[in-house]
Amino acid sequence: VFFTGEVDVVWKFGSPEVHSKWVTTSDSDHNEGFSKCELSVSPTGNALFSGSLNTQVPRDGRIKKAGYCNMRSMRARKSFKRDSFLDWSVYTHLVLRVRGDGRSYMINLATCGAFDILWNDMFNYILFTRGGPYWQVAKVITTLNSEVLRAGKGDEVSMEQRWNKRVGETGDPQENPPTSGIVWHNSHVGNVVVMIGWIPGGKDTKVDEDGVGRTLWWLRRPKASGAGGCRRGGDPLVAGTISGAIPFSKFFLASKGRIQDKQSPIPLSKVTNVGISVGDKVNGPFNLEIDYIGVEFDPSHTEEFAYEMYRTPRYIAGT
Amino acid sequence: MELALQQALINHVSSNSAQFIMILVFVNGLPCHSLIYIVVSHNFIKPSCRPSSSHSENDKKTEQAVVIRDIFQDAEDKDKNTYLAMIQIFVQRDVHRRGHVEFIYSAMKHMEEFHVHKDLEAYKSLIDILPKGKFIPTNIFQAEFMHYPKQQQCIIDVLEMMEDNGKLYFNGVMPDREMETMLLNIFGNKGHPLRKYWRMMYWMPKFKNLSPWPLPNPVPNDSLELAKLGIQRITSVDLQTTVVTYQTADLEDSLEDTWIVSGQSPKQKELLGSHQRNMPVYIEGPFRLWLRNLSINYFIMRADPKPRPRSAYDPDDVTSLKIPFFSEPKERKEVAAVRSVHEQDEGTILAVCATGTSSRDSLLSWVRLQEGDGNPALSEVPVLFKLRSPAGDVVPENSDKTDSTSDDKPNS
Repeated sequence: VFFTGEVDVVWKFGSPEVHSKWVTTSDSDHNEGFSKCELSVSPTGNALFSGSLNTQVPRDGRIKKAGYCNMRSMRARKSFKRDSFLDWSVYTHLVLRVRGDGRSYMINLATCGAFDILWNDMFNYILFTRGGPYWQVAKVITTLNSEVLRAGKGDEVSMEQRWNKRVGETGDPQENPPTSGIVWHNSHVGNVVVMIGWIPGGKDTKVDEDGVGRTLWWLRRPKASGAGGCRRGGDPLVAGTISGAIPFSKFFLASKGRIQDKQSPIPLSKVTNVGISVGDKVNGPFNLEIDYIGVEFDPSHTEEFAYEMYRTPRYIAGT
Repeated sequence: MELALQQALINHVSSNSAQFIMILVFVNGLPCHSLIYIVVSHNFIKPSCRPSSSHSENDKKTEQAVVIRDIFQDAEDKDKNTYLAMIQIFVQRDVHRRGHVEFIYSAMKHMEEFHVHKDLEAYKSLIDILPKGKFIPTNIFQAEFMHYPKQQQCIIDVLEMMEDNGKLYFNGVMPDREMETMLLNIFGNKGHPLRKYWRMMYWMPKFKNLSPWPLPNPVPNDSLELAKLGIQRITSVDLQTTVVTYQTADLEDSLEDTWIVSGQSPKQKELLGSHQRNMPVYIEGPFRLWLRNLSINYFIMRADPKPRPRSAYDPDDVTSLKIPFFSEPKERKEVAAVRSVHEQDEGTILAVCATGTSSRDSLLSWVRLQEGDGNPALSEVPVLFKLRSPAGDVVPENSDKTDSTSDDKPNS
């Protein structure tokens, strides 16, 4: 039975056995560039994928762009060195606990097929890192925390509410501040905060050119009520930490770096390798500290695939 | 006989030219076969721009690389208006616009010099060079076989450059409907550039606003603004963090005059307040944070980690097994305060900062300013500086290297 919030850790980094299952490559290994990378053990006992990216193109006339590094897991195996798959068909989310440096990395789930054109099939998504000393995408805590954020009197807290006003959608900012909800973008870690009794102050609404609206609410803490009860009135209640897990439905199909026209959800029973790469065209060193990579089942996640599956014209798409 | 003939021909023909010589061979008065010799100079074209009088010198001396001079290189002030003006000159110079494909390729090569590689108007004016209507296929065979393949490939490369100057994180140049109509008028519905445009318009908007920590594009070049963005990003973990900018000049005994951007939340203030006075607090750094293509150095104030509260109950202990049906219901009385996001296994983060000079003196000023700003504990707690040698500037490797092995050490 799979519970929501339980992360089945597939690779817990830090030990040499797990590190021996991962291989790092960069463009300099193929004489296509000058970047360097390595996967080592950090002083805190986690994996450290570090190196430096160099976008200088080697002068051999055939290469136009350079600068990539990646780390990839070795293919799952059965007995007697038979190739096998990572069967993740039960799960819905991929969870990584990482501490990055602000760069964005690409997560690749290779589903190497049987035929040669399918050998390079990879499902990708972007891993945005916050940077800084705080771990991101932490483990899920499902029990209700009565963590009371103590704030002085008269303190203000701001909550941001995003709404879409793209073509075809009628989204409008709400008149009242949200009393609860995810205060940060919901594809990565965020706190579900329940604001009880906070007094709404000002608000500021902005719509940017893509139609994504943003309303920032300022909420002021009321005077301490002093009434009985286990919780002081007016304190926000952190109801749980959402795992910043990335749902598998968001991974898009690419082959050899080109996004394919005909998309489909990832075949989770046929995952062969997992990889993380850097290729964001920014010259300079990079550091990504990884604690673990795991998978999770979340029954409330009902999305099958994030990209539209409408029928495309016959000889235009996919040629 | 043939060899002698060949030799005579080669000596006769001048170098640096190709000539057609037709030789009729008569055998017994009747022409039996004719030999057509295409005599090409065995010197071929010398890789040199010098006139042929100094040919022999160049043969023995260095081989110079070919330097192709085009009008983009000769421009004095390289900005957007000059670039667009040059494209206009090309368009108006010749009705037939001969060599437009080569012109577009050379224009693409110089886009970065003119700082127009992120400018939609520049890309549109490049595509505008092509004539409208002429390249649209009129029957099935033309449509199937990539009508005018050289031009189609050229425009595909232009669109690829647009997409690349924006992949993954650089939020590239997004095309618009006007470009679609242009491509439609040039190559028609079945053309590959239009297909590529459709793909770009499908995928690029999906990736544009994905980041949970949005940054302006381009990021401000000013280090103070960058530092503010960076510290806000790092401390976005805790909603209640306040990011404050101090000036070291406000302190009397500071050696430098720089700014300090510091982020601390009330929870961290409380943690510092309850920190044991005889345990040290470490200032560590500098660490690097990337904001699009620029980086800042930041420092953290860290205390030793508090161990996670673990209950004394050992589920594997079999000395006293209790059967739930017969025994009294157990009252669980183990309660511990939940750890905040700042208390981690590696240490408790008490504050984060970035300074203008990233020097020890500025960090000392930071500690003093924090002390005055609601952290009186800092006057009693020993503060240890654990600074690494500062992370150097990001310097690109030499661009005039010719061999493919790199000798430079990575920037630490």
